[in-house]
Amino acid sequence: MNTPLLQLENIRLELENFSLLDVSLDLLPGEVHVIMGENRSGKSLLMQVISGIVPPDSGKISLNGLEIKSKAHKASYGDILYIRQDADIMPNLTIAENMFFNNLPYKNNLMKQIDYDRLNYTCQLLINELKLPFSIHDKVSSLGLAQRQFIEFCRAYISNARVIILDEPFASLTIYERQLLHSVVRKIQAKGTGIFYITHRLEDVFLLGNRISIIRRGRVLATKAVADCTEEEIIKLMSGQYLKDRYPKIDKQIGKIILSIKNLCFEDKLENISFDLHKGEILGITGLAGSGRSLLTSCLFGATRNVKGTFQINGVPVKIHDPYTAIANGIALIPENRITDSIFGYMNIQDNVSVSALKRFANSLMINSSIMMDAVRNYIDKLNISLHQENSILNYSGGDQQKAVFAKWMLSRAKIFILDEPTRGLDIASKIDIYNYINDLIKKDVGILFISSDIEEILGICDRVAVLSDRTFVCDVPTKNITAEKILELATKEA
Amino acid sequence: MFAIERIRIIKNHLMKENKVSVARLSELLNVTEVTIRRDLEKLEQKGFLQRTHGGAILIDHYEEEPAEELFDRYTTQRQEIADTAFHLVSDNDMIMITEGMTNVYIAKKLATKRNLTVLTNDLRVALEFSDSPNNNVILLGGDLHEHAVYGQLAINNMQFFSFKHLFLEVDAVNKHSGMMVSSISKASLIQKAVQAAEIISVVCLAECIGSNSLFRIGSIDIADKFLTNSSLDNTYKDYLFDMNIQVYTSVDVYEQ
Repeated sequence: MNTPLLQLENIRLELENFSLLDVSLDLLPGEVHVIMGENRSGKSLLMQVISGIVPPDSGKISLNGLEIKSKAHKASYGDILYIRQDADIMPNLTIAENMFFNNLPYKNNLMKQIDYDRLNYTCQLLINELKLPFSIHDKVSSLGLAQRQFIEFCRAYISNARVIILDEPFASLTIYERQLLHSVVRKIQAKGTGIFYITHRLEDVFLLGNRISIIRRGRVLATKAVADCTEEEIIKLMSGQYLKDRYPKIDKQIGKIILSIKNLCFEDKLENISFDLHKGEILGITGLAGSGRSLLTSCLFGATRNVKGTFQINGVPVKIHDPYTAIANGIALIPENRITDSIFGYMNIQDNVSVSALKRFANSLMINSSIMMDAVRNYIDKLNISLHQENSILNYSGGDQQKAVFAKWMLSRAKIFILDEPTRGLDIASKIDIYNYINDLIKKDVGILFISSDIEEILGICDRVAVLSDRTFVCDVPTKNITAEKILELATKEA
Repeated sequence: MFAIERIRIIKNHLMKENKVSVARLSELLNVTEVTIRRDLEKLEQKGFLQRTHGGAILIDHYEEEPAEELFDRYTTQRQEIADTAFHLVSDNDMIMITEGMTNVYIAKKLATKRNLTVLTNDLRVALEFSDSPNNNVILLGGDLHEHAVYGQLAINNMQFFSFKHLFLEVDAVNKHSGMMVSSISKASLIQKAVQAAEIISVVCLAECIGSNSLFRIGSIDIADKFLTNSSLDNTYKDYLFDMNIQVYTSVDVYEQ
């Protein structure tokens, strides 16, 4: 039990603007080793080194006492499984195919003919065993982010990997989903698999962790047994995160109704949703994952077909059939899943910012690119996006990517912003920036729908809050008249 | 074309010609007359020009701004902060505004509110309210230092007051020493004011954060709100958030 499963010795990696310095860590079999640190502290980079995505400059990684040479690292892929923040799911495959992607059962090993009966059967067994909240027949494309994360977890559960890395797996989940996932983590642990667990949540540390390492600026500050440390100690080491709500809220007189929705229905998933959004108002919408939060945003943005109900913008009835009409009507959507739904990975940050506002800079058929780039630079500067010499937006931090998405819609002068989990998984500095962008928007009479599973955040910045449960809004009240406990209670009241 | 750019061009044009016509500007800038009218309206609100039939004329006294404003590199930043402050105060509030250039901008903005009671030790702040009979201004007494009063008399005066919101402009802030100002009399008056306030908003240009000054007021955690600019260093955002302080970076980029 005491020989480490995985051992890192003096890992060094120097990148242009960041480096890992003499990192030494180990992982015991059947252990949950929590890694905590601020964003940009090097947690994810370290995990990339462990999983062999990025080779270190120097240092030694050994698995079961055998050193892994970086060239031969590929061979150990099966032993180390890295599950990242943004679930890697193939939307056109079934749930079963996604779960068992790495070990599909074959009828005939030579011909690689997949045994679908066995696949579906084992998948169903797994769903029953883990009591997962979906059925084998659901389409992957209809699953919310939380459910996608369940699939990723199942992959980890059924894999033969000896080391599993979970990178902020619970960032967007509600208490109940988290409990379910906690039980999956414990089952994985019981198999003797070692788990590196990156999180921002202190409660998870005490619930699941055996040991904790705190990382700051590419160095391991301390590794301790969780049982030996107190919450205050950890907070102190990390320079304190996740204290109480401190959201920069401003007072703003709300204006006329900008968006009015009556009796919105969609299939059997959403029913009779009605609400009014005023100019300069932030309406918070919360609910459990799978309650249809994200579905509602795509209905409002015209990204789903066959939505029933009446829409009025500024008192004028409109039909929103597709995102194009939504944009033309001044609606902007910042979706939950940034990587797949809101940024253009092959373009640079400037092009990502200008892409929705090209019309503003068009002069007959030509785009006046010098003025456009001037405007884009101004936005990048004012929104505090740290520009560096990288071509693709994918090389920027999550915070800067999300800021660029905000810049895009601000530049296009949208009048209604639908924000789906806009601060999920971001570092505190970026969150604060985004709250201040929202202040800038409401000062100038934009209406904002703010969807979030972080109740503290909803209470901190929204004027009103609506709770989505059992397919519809179960309340719609000013935030000052409701407590976090009440919201949770309403959200979970579902029949 | 970009609104900020356009407004700059209109301003320059107006400075040169003293008057402009909507038609001429629309032709010059290749945008519709409606857009130009909107821009002129904005400039009129700022007191830069007066609109006339079909155009606008420059308001003469615009150039007679206080001398220091001409040399002030941070006009925009101060205006952004003032904009945020405007949204933190409601009509009928009782507030105190301490001495400081950014606070003068805040006063200018707040003068459009109704029925405020404003306590201040800065003559410039008091003057900003002189044209707004809707608000009450109380000026502290004491030894005059440049534009503001300080000293034992001012501190003694403070004991008569209790107010909701204090706008406290500081000269420097850093993690090590907390909040600092440049004179001891200023520091001691502020320490007294802090005790009388319910909500404390610290006003500080982003450029002054991380810098040093001689006299310490106290640690940052006495602040409830922190009003600064978008160029605030990321480490300070984390730092302040962790101390339960609301951080306002006064972003002003969206074009209505």
